[in-house]
Order: sequence, then C-alpha cells, then structure tokens
Amino acid sequence: MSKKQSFLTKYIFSQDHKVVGVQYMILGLLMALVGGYLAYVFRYQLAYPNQSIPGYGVLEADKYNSAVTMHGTIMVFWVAMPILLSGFGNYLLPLMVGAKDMAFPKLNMLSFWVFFVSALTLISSFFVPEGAVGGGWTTYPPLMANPGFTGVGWGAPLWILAVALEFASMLMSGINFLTTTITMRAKGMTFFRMPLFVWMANVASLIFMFSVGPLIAGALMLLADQLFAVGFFLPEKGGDPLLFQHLFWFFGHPEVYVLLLPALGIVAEIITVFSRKSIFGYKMIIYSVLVAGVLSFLVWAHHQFVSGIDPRIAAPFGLTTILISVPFAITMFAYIASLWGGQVRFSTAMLFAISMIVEFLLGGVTGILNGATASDIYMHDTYFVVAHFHYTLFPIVFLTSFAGIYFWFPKIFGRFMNETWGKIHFWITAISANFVFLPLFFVGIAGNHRRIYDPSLFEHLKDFQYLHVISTIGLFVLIGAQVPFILNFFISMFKGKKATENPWEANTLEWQAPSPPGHGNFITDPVVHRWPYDYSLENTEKDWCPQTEAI
Amino acid sequence: MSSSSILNTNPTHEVEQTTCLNVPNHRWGMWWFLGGEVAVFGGILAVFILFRLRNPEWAQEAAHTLTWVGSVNTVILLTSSLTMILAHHFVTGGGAQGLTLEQRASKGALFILLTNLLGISFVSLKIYGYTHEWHAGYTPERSLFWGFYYFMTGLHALHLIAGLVANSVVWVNLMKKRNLQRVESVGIYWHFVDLVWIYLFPLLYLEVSSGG
Amino acid sequence: MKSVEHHSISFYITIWVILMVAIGASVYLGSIQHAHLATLLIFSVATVKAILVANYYMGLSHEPKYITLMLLVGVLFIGLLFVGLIPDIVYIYGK
Repeated sequence: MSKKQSFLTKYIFSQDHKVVGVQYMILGLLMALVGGYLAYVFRYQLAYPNQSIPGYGVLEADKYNSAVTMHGTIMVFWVAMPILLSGFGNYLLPLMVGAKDMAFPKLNMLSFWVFFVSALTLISSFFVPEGAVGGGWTTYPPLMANPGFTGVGWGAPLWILAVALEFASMLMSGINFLTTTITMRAKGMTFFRMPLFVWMANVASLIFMFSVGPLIAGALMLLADQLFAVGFFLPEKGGDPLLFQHLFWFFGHPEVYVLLLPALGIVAEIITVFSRKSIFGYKMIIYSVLVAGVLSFLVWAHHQFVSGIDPRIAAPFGLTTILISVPFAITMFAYIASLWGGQVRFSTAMLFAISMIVEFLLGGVTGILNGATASDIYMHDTYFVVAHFHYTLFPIVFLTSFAGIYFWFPKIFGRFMNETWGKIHFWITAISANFVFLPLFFVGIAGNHRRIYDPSLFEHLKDFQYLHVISTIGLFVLIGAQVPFILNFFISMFKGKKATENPWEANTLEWQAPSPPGHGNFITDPVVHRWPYDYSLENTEKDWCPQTEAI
Repeated sequence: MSSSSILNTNPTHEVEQTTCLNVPNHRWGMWWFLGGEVAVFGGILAVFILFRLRNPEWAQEAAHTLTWVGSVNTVILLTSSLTMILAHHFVTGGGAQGLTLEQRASKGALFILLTNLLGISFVSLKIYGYTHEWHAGYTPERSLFWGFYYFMTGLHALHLIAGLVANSVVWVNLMKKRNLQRVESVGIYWHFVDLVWIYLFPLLYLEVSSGG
Repeated sequence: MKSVEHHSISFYITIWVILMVAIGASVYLGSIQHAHLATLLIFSVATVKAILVANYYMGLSHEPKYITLMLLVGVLFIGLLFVGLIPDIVYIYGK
C-alpha cells in the first residue's frame, strides 16, 4: 500500500466502491431490524388485540398507524433499495465489468452519506412530538397535506425530507452505475458479454431516474402544502388529491421493478453457477427486461382503480398491467429452463435463489387478480393486496438478499459462511414466510380491510381471527430464524473457513479478483474473451470457463 | 496488502479519465443527471399545464406577474449562457488552441465570473419581483396560480443558486489552474437551468387572454 | 467518429442574437389579441430557443445521438404522464 489509511478513511469515509457497497448492505440490514420490529408490534396487535406487547407495551390506534406506515417506508426505501440496488450494485458492478472502481468515487461516498443522513432523519421522526407519520407509506393527501388531519406536526415533513434525501442518494448511485458501465468496461467486455446482474442494475437505474422526477416534484408540493398550506392537493383551494396519487404511482409502480430487476440479476448469477448450466435465453431475458422497463411506465394507474379515476383510463391500464406480466413470465421460464437438466448443487445460496423463484411466482400470479379491474374493485385495500405484494417483495428483498449474501460473502470477506447454519436459516425462513403471508390471502378474501386496527371489533371477521394468529406466530418464527443468520454473518467474518478466489467455480469477472479484492480490484487488468455463462462444457477438464480465458 | 483487514480497500482512487464514444466520464455523468432533472422539471411543467388548461381564468392572474421582470431576467439568463459557453470556448473549446494553460485558465475564470455576476443579478431581480408581487397581495392565498408561480420559479431559483455555487468552485479551480474540464460540466448544467426558464417565462409571465 | 467539433466566437454570438430576437418576439406575441394563435406561436418560439440552447450551448449537436435519444425518452415518459392525467385533471368525467 502506497499510503497508510486510518480506520476512518478506510472503513467509514471510504471512496472504495466495495466498502460503500458493504456499508449500504449493513445499514440496510440494520434498518430491516427496525422494520421487522415494527411488523412484530403491529402483527401482535392484530392477533391479540389490545394486549400489552412484550417489548413495546399497549399499541394505541394512532401508533398502530405509525407502525404500519413506517414499516412500509423502511422496508421499501431503506432496506430493499440500499441492499439490492446500492449494496450489491456498488460492490459487484465495477467488479463484474472489470473496472478498478466507480466512475465517480467521491460521488459514491457522498451518495452513501446522504443515504445515512436520510436514515437518521427517518428514525428521528419516531422521537419528535406526536411521533412518526401514520398516513400510510403512500402518504396520500388530503390526509397528509394538512397537519390538522394527520395530527402529526413534525413527523410528516420529516418523512418527506427523508424520502427526498434517499431519492437524491439513489440518483447519485444510478448516475455512477450507468457511467461506470458505459465507460469503464474491461477490454473485450461488450454489452452482450456483461453478466445479467449488470444489465438489470442499469435498467433499474434508468427506470428509477426517469420515474422519480415527478414524485420529487410532488413531494415538494406536498411539503409546501404541509408547511405553508398552499393547497396543491387540497380540493377546497383548487388543488386535486388525485394528482398526488398519479405522481406517486407514476414513480411507485416503476419502483417495484427497480427492486425486482437487481433481484432477478442476483438470482440469475446464482442459478447458473449452481446448476452448472448456461443461462437459458440470455438475450431474450435482456430484451424482456427492456420491454418491461418501458411498460412499467404505462401501468401506474392500476393502483387507483377505486380512487375515482376516469373509468376510460382504468381499462387501458388494466390491459397494460396484464401485459407486463408477459416479459416477467418469459424471464421466469428462462430461469426454470436454466435449472432444467442441470447438475444442481444445493448450496444455501442456491436454495434461497430457487425459493425466491417459487415464492415470487405465487406473488406474481395473484397480481393478475389485482390487475384486472373487475376483481380489483372487490380485492382493493384488503389483506389480499397485502398478501400479494408481500409474496412479491419478501422473495425479492429478503430471499434474494440472503442468496446474494451467502453467495458473495466469500468474495466480500474472504471467508465462507457456515453452510449448516445457513441451511437451518434457509428452511425456517422459507417455510415460516408462507405461514406469515398465506393466511392473509384468505383474511383478505373474507373482507378484512387492510387498515383495520382491531379486527375483533367486526362481527364478520371474528371467524377468521385464527388466521391472524397463525400469521403472527409465523412472524415470530420468521424473526427468530434470523438470529442464526446474524450470528453466522458476524462470526464467519472473522472465524469462517478461508475462501479461495473462485470457490464456486464461477465465470464472471469478480471471481477472477482476489478474495477479498484489494487495491484496484484486479491484480492484472482483465481481458474478456467470452460471455459469462459458459458452463457444462464438454471435452474439457473443467465444466466451466471464466470470461478471461481465451477461446 | 495488510493482512489484518477484513476488506481490502483501495487507498489511492486514481481513477483514470475514461471515455466512450469520445464522451468522457464527467459528461456522461452530467447527461445522466440531466436525464433525472428532465423528469423533475418535466413533471412540474406537465402538472402546471394541466392545471392551466383546467383553469382558463388563470390568464387574468398571469397578467399580474411583472412581465418586465420576467423579460429582463430572460435576457440576463440567456446572456449568461453566452458568457458560460465562451468560458468553455477558451478553456477547452475552439478558442483554447494556441493558448497557454495560464491564458486558458484566466480567460475561463473571467467569463465564469461574468456568468456569476449575471446569475446574481437574475436572483436579485427575482427577489425584487417576489417582494413586489407579494406586497401587492398576490400570495398563494389568493389562488393556486400563485402557489405554482412561487413553487416553480422558487425551485428554478434554487437550481440557479446551486449553479452559482458550482461555478464558484470551478472559478477557484481555474484560479489554481486545476480541473479545467469541470468548466464543461457546470456549463451543461447552467444551460439546462437556462432551458427550463425558457419554458417558465411564457407559462408564467406571458399568458395571453384565454390560453386554454 | 470525428472528435469534438469547435465553433467560433462569432457563431456563439450569432446564436445569442437570435435568442435575443426570439425573446422580443415572445414578448410581442404576448400582447396580440388572437389568443390561440398567440399561444401556439409563443410556445413554438420557446421550443426554437430551447433547441438552440440545447444543441449549440449545451453541445448536444456534437454529442452521440444516444444522449439526445436518452433525454427524449425522458421527455416521452413525461408526455405519457401528461396524457394519462388529462381525463382526471382537465376533462373530468361527468362534468
């Protein structure tokens, strides 16, 4: 090392894309603990209404709203985004394209610290007078536009400020991803030799970049409504609350794909390595994702079928919603076809990746019922919708992140995580998640509105209370299953089995760098000769061939 | 490499200047950033135009904005774009040929300074316009048009002030003869702020009698 | 691919003169009586100004066409938002 670095510049204010990526991941996992705790609190209330909750106390109705709102906000913006896109993206993207670092390392560091401040801002809103905002994670006006309605003087503006800072941070990451991919690829790394994860992270960044603008505008207008009572979204002042819903979902729906795409990328990398087969339909997956990226801008109003939008635009949006399942169905089939006939190695990472495909399919298929206008009018705002998006987001966010962490841990820290404990973690997590979310489908069809504080107050829901209890007990198990993961993570960091540079026999460039990669990532500048998915080769000693090996 | 570290880190970060299609990193980055900004201002303009179509009576409100302030500010801002492009011209553009590093930096610094002076006059005139209109009773309380007026021009002014700060940083760089390529980045941003104003001006200051 | 194209000072000043004339035209058009025609003309002039600034001051004219394309895609998506909002904000159903 040419220059001695202090602990501070090395691990805290670091410009190294690898450290920034790990910082994002760890902060995201910490926020997941907060989000999980909130879920525990309000699920307890739903299963055992009005009892004292161990570790919290009695949950009042307004605090229930805060807990639900903050759970959604944290899980989407402070767990899913940082871990999947910024965390894995920052760590892997320069390595996978064969670059020494990001194009703008200082911007990268700034991006993390803006994100850190946004997380602090959000957490601080729990402790201001009147507590955190409880208007739902979508923060619809007029409820949110007027402090007199929410009863929250400080929480609502702090929420908007935190989200705005988070968006700024993610935009900085996106600019870095796109520029790095365009200008800093290794010699021979053509666009169609890039690993799928790189494609997915870039398309996700593009979608984010084009969709978030109107919501930044809308959020600032909402802030103006809250602080100065301007009335952009207040009907009595000539404003329109529907406008905010449109601006929110114009971003909010593409955002779903901003989370899904990096997850699909991670799963693609893992299933090819562990099924020892090349990915099925590489270009077809890329084109599907590009089509889905464009379509994702055409579906937003399906969140508003019961909001009083014009029925003449509801119908086309229902149609595009059904259409957008086609490219993702193609992608899913391609993944299943990649598994077919492979010599599958069931490592923990692979198990998580397969379970992601299985559980995500259940979420995707139930989405059809929400996308069809007619059935959505019945399902809307019930627990059916809650179950649907948890079946999509839980696999995307958690199963995929776990898969990615078990898979790249040897690269990141130079040591393996314990496989036995990993498998215990996997089986309990993957099974108990179904106990949490599956009952909610039935509760929803039975007519349980998603924002009810105490279901026992409603006669028609009394018979279904046992489903809430199952769901909550499932959540206890799910949260308990994370204890071995956390211990495994920190113990393996220091005590785990040492890893070689390419322990999984994978082809992509990051496995050609040392574990962990040092100064400038690669010892010699990599030159790429082939695509990343040359597995199950015949007539060779090994069944795989890294990208750097000449033909 | 020190063996004690869990994460081996890159201490120097000397990322070389790379290009693709002859466009260097800093310009790619700036264009992606502007892609995001297009969506921000595009969204605001779209929303305003929709509300303007919904409320034809806003034409009367627009008649109360100080048209001369808007017009003079348009002239100032477009002129500042000229000084900005001239700064670029002398630092890295066509005028840089045959000049020494010192000459390029000092000419660039001069034109950046002129740009900033014009930018400051824009903001000053804007503040004059705001106070004048506010005291004449044209507050957001009066109608949502004024809410949009202050919101849109205010957000634009914040972008302009951010541009002034960036220009000042680049000016200091030029005085120290460092990072000359940054003139180009701040230039592209400055022209974009200018471009947004080109649409804000007719929308807010020039509404003809029944634009709907 | 040819390297960065350089314009002369007089070229930039010519653009500036055209922009100044365009501002005068916009202000004049704001005062004429025919409202629809005036609106159309004012926004046409604004678009001409925007294209001049984008092409020659921002330098889009000698950037790769992909960059213009990328920015236009952003504008297109905003256009979609605009169209999708018309029925709910402007021509409200049943009114």
